[in-house]
Amino acid sequence: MKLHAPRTYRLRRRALGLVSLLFKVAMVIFFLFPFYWMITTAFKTYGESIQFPPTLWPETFTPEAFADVWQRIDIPRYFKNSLLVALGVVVLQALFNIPAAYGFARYEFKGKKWMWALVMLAFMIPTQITFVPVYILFSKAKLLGTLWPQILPFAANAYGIFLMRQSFLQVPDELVEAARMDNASEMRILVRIMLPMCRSSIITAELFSFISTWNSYFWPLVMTNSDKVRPLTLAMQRLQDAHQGLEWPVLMAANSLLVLPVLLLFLLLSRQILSSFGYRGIK
Amino acid sequence: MKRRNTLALLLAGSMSLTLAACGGGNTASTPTPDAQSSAAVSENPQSEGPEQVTAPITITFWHDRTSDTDYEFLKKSIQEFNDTNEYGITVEEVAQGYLDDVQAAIETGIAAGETPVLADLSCNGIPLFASEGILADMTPYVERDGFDMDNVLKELTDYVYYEDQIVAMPYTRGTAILYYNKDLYAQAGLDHAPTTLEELNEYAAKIYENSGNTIRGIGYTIEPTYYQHYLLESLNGVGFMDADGLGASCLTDGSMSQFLTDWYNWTEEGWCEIPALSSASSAMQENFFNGQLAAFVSSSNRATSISQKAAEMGINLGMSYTVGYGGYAAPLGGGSVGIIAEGHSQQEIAAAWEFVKFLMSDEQVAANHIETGVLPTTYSSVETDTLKDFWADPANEGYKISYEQVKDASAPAMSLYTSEWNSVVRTAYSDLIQGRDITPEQALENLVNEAKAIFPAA
Repeated sequence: MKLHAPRTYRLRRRALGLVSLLFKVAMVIFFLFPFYWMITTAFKTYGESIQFPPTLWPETFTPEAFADVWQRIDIPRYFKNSLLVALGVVVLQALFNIPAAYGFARYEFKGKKWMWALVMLAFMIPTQITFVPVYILFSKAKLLGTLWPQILPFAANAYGIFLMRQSFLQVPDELVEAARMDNASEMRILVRIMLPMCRSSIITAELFSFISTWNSYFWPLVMTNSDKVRPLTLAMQRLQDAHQGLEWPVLMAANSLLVLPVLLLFLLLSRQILSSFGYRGIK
Repeated sequence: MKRRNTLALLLAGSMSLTLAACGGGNTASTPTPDAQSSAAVSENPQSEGPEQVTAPITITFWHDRTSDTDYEFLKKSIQEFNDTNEYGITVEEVAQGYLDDVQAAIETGIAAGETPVLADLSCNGIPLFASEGILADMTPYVERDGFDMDNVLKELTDYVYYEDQIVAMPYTRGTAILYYNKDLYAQAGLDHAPTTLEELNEYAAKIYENSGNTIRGIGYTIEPTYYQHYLLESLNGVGFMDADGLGASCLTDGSMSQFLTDWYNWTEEGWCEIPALSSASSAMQENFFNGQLAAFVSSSNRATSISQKAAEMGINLGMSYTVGYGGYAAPLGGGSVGIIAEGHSQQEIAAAWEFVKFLMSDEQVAANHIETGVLPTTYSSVETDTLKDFWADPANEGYKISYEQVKDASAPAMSLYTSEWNSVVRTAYSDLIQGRDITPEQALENLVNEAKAIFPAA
């Protein structure tokens, strides 16, 4: 029995490894297939895109849909708007969220619990109920024709503050105390110690903000009345007229263009994102 | 200490911004319509009558013309107006989705004092906005410029007048067309377009049977004020709402009961397609182009787009009059362009009128019809060589049909209750036909109960 035990163990490990591999492959297919479908449909003709049963690979490979998108909507203008808004939100959130999270994580001050409760409360309030009051606010400020209504309401973000605070809390007190004993200023401690140690969490929070702003549809739909300030997501709506019949290749070509920056960012920063979700204990 | 203060300030700032984004810090009040109106009126007193545009001005037009052919035409049309008008008026268009989205955007805009001066409005929106005094009365401009209202197609003036005011001009009005696969119907033994609903249904059932229950004969999407309205109208003479807009006698005269039972049975037998839960119109067209559906009813505004796709897919497309119980019957739908007075100066309103006048010119009306399929809205445009030549081409038969059947067409009465009743009826149809979780009798009972709450006379 003793001689067979390691063999059984090895076999079981291999079987488990195989199951694990199959599961991972299935998950990869499950998550990648929509992207595959989007890209291949973008290169099909209209007829082939509605064909039943559908084709897995374009029979007639044509980039016509991309040309169509380019012709029907002013991609550079809408892309610029989307980029400005998303970057504006990311920069402002970095300016406000990081000090706020640091304050909540590292300082004791009067009313801290109440203020933290307010942040948590803001976390739980659905954005939809703020549409009308915020719209009226920006209307009174005569800012509706600008990009600001898409940026300013998101300059601070409860989720980002929460995520970063949790990350700052993981940094050992001893490190901060040691820095203080070396006469390091608070700003120096934040910039030279906390930020590098919490880089992954900060990048993740900022990336989530970028993606959510980039993909935002209803907020800009309500807050903008002019194409001059509308983002790419709203421009895409022009291509989607269900009454006329959805032109799937055109829609998929537009969506491919829409997700491209997000995909690139994710590929560039995927390592940081993964590490932000892992606990890094320091003893 | 200074650093700590800076951090505290940033913390406080970020909290206030966080709460602002979530609605916590906003106590702004809504500007009252009265205040806005009086500001606009005091700037340019109404008593002096309609003004001409005296200086270059930019006005905004909210619309639903987002599809390829529609949007291309609109852009071209606006460009031509901007380049040629003698007043230096610049029209800027903003797409707001579908007609209902335009209405919703205006409702939100009114609360904030941010509305366009021009908008394409649905039959749901016009009575609501007109009754609130939001739409400008175009009568003084019509009289000043000698614009001939008798030249506007009589049937399309159903949403033009509100009480004694001219509150809109027909713009993207359309009627429905029966789009059918000529080959499939010919194979079933029908060598001409169906002339009654009974004939259409008979051959639709044959196609389904001959194909081994794979090809459905006909399909309708759920449009209570449009397709279903004309079918009801062919039964009871008034459609889904009474002529005075204050009740729905279809609920008690047996017509709604018959229609609900019929439609349910058609779908139960299989030859009538059940509309998809989302993008039903698009799904129906796709089935048609794939040869899985032999006919469907859709707006004439889509004639250009449907013809192009049918040609691409090799479908022998037939376009014909729509049919109701016992003969021809057709719905009227689409949008009319209205000028929004509230919050706008007389100069803006005058500029908007110039654009409306331009849209109603023979050249524009004819081009709008030819390039997008919307109905020609004036009698004189129909007499132009452009339209006559276009209709003379057999390939454009469907376009001519859409105009010819206007005399048989009807839209629901102009009523304050249209929007709400439409929503209730849509739910009942959806529960019955798509959800299939209630019977026709239960659907009728639900409608009767809802009607009691909606209509004052019920």
